[in-house]
Amino acid sequence: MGEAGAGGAASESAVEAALPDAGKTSVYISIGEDGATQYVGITDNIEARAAAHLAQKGIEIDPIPGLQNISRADARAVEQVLIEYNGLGKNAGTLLNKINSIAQSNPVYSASLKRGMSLLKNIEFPGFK
Amino acid sequence: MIKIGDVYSIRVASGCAYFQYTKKISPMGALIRVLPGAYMDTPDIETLIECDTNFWIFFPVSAALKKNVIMRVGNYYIPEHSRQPPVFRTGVVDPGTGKVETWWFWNGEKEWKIGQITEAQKKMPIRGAWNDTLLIQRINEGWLPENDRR
Repeated sequence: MGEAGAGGAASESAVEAALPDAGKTSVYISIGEDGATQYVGITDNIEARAAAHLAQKGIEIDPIPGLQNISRADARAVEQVLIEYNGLGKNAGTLLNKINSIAQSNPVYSASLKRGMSLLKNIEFPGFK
Repeated sequence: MIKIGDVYSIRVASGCAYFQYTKKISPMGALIRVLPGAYMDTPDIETLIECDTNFWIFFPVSAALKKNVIMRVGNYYIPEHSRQPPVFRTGVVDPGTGKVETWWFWNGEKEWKIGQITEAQKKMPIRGAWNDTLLIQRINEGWLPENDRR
């Protein structure tokens, strides 16, 4: 967890920035008071998801700029990279997320991680510039 | 069924605050302009809606109405100065600094990267969607975008 290149999803080297494919899905993030990322997710309805997270978990979410109205596959790719970058809570990470977006056993896993990192690099996401 | 121009009241610590529903923008939802002040007695709404917007935020108006946490006051025209949605600022907090290092602007359709923003630009609304609890809390706190810690 931490810097891109330190481990997990962020260990792929020399990733080229890439633009997302268009779609209806948005990637969002929740940052805690301590500055740590506490949730990452994807949705087609930010309004409803934001209200649900506030009501159920008490967390505020923010759509990630540059990752709005993108394809479901690209959104899931970014989500999985950020899950691995920050770590699931059950694995001593900072996230409240319970499960991965893309399982390691999924045939598209490796390609999706690379794609997700490229998209994060394109938007100069902290840790992926 | 909510209509553009609807004004709603919401109970806050020092009375009732008022907001006007202005537009639905996908994927964020219903955009409201929160009007200044909180009132023990119902103010003159036609005068109130002419005031500059206190802050803009996305808020699930329909759901809040169904939950009876807001009350419809009536349908009013949207004053010229607030007829067009504003340009919002948005960004991801860098865990290393606790601040947004790269700001983006969003006009409801397109986003574009800005980087650092000026003191004047800190008055721009911040893109976000709140529920009733957070809306009430922020109104009680006197929250304004220029005071946001990001």
